[in-house]
Amino acid sequence: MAGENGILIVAETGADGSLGSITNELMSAAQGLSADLGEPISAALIGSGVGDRAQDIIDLGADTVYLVDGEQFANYLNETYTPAVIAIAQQANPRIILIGHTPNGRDLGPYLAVRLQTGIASDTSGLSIEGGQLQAARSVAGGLFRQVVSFPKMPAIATVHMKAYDGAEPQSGRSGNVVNVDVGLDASSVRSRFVKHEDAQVEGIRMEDATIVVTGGRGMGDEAGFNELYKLQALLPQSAVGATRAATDSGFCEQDLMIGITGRVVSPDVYFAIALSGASQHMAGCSGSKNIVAINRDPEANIFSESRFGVVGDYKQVLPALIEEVEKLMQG
Amino acid sequence: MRIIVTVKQVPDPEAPQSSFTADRAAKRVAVAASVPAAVSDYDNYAAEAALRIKDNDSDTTVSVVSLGESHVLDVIKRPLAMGADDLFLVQDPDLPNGDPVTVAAALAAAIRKIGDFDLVVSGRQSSDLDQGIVATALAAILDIPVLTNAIAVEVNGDEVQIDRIVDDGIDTVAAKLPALVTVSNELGQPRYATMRGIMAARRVDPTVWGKGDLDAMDAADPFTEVVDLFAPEKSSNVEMIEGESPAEAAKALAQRLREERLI
Ligand SMILES: Cc1cc2nc3c(=O)[nH]c(=O)nc-3n(C[C@H](O)[C@H](O)[C@H](O)COP(=O)(O)OP(=O)(O)OC[C@H]3O[C@@H](n4cnc5c(N)ncnc54)[C@H](O)[C@@H]3O)c2cc1C
Ligand SMILES: Nc1ncnc2c1ncn2[C@@H]1O[C@H](COP(=O)(O)O)[C@@H](O)[C@H]1O
Repeated sequence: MAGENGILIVAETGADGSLGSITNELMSAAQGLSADLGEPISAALIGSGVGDRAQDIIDLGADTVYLVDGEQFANYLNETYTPAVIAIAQQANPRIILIGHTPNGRDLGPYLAVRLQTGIASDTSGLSIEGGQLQAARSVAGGLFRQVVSFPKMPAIATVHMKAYDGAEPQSGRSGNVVNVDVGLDASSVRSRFVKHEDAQVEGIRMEDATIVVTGGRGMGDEAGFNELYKLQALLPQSAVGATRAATDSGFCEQDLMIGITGRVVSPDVYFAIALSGASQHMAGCSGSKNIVAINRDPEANIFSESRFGVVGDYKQVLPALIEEVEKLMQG
Repeated sequence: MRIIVTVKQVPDPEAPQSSFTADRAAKRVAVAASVPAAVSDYDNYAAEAALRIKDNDSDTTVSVVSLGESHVLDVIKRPLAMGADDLFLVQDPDLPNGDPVTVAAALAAAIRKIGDFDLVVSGRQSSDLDQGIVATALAAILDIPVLTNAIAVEVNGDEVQIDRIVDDGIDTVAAKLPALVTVSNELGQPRYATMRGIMAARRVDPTVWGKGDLDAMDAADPFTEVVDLFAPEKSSNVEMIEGESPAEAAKALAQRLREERLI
């Protein structure tokens, strides 16, 4: 194709039909690129009964929303969403496609790139325009280095690291176009099926929404030690408990508390990093935190160099005293 | 059934950070000679998922395929020591490197040459590049359905079914065989190699192919190019909080956090 123009973002909706926060983040990434290129932003909105969200995406800054709305798209499936994005890309003919580096976005991106015979870079967190084309920076070697990727072909596809961009703020009543797209999907060509969805059992608030995260690592020693973290967490509003992979793999807590390159990504105001070393793979999930507070008995632990505040000591002595003092301050 | 596991050999990611440096001119990570090779972390889980299927069906064969400049046999044979049956190595100093879709095309050519298969199992992402692209692109090139990020995998008749973690819970999805599945660490610890397994693995002669043995390896221009690689700047300005005792330091920390209105 020729005449590629503009940026297409692939929106995501949650199980309740609301736009996922990644959509705001993609829009804000797209706005920077759009300003540099002087080209418009469009969005792909795919689902069942999601038409009402089109105006929300326009409010976030999209000029055109391409809507694929149908029963067939009620749940994400690679084999139905890939043709939907292809049908949209054929109409929009974008220069750049941005997708969230979310479980579904990671699943979609590479399949789409092969089908469109183009290049893809994943988990990118610094997007820029060089010579009129996309360049994307991403971490490699578990976060030790940054790599910058260019795209000789169009459209350039990038999946974007969660929380790498602050979400775009909606401006209500913006105007834009909504274009219905017919995918013309032949159901007999679909060789996979969605079986079921089970909601996560979240007690309290989601870790991603917490303003304070209390995270423990291998140094918590065992499940009982790890559970001490909940005493601190319980005193702090809007807070959640997280873990390193060493802690989850050792069975101190549920697997889904894991933060890091292959776990959850959080960026709270305060991140308590307790008895964890600060491995790059872990930091990939929390380095966007505004204030990291480290407690570690090893003064040489890498986590201190990534933190705003640090205390050297055995958590078994530090944590109870911290809990006691925080409790006092919260009452006072 | 025949399962193919894709396994990448990488520099051990747990090696000291100082053994990795940025070679800016070559736009790649330079690795000290002291760093041992390892099986890419998630590929151990991929092998485990395949072997669990084999545990329940003695007619299952598990083949391992790996593509790289050079392989350390003791390392790349680890999945065999765990119970896999045979090994296919694509070795060539001149292999397409860097662009993940091009790597996937080379793997696809190797898998086609291996022959008929029912299931391909891969890791969710490689420990050195953390892309999470090669396996999914491989499925697209082989034109088979893909299910990613599995935390549980089972085969029922002509279908493979997985559970996968999504943003707000767990999805269960299924695909007709042949299909490709990528595996995450929540699957559970990979089994250890047994002494018997290690002995059996020693006896396996890998099939080794070079670039010239594979069709369509002279892929046209790469789809992406690495234009820079560098170590990010780190500026540490940590405020260490001290006290007469750890408990006193903890108290001072709480007060400092309150002063900053962080708690
Ligand atoms: C491909 C790959 C992907 C990975 N993905 C992730 C990921 O997503 N998330 C993740 O977290 N990890 C991940 N890892 C693992 C990561 O490399 C580290 O191994 C892991 O983060 C270490 O966890 P830790 O800091 O809890 O343990 P350790 O590195 O063992 O550190 C424990 C720390 O606790 C301190 N300590 C011990 N006892 C005490 C005490 N009583 N009081 C105070 N301090 C104490 C020690 O001084 C030490 O600093 C990944 C690894 C690989 C290879
Ligand atoms: N050179 C390779 N040889 C064999 N398998 C590979 C190779 N590169 C990637 N893979 C597979 O693809 C998965 C994802 O790799 P990546 O896209 O690099 O993160 C890995 O976990 C492997 O299973």
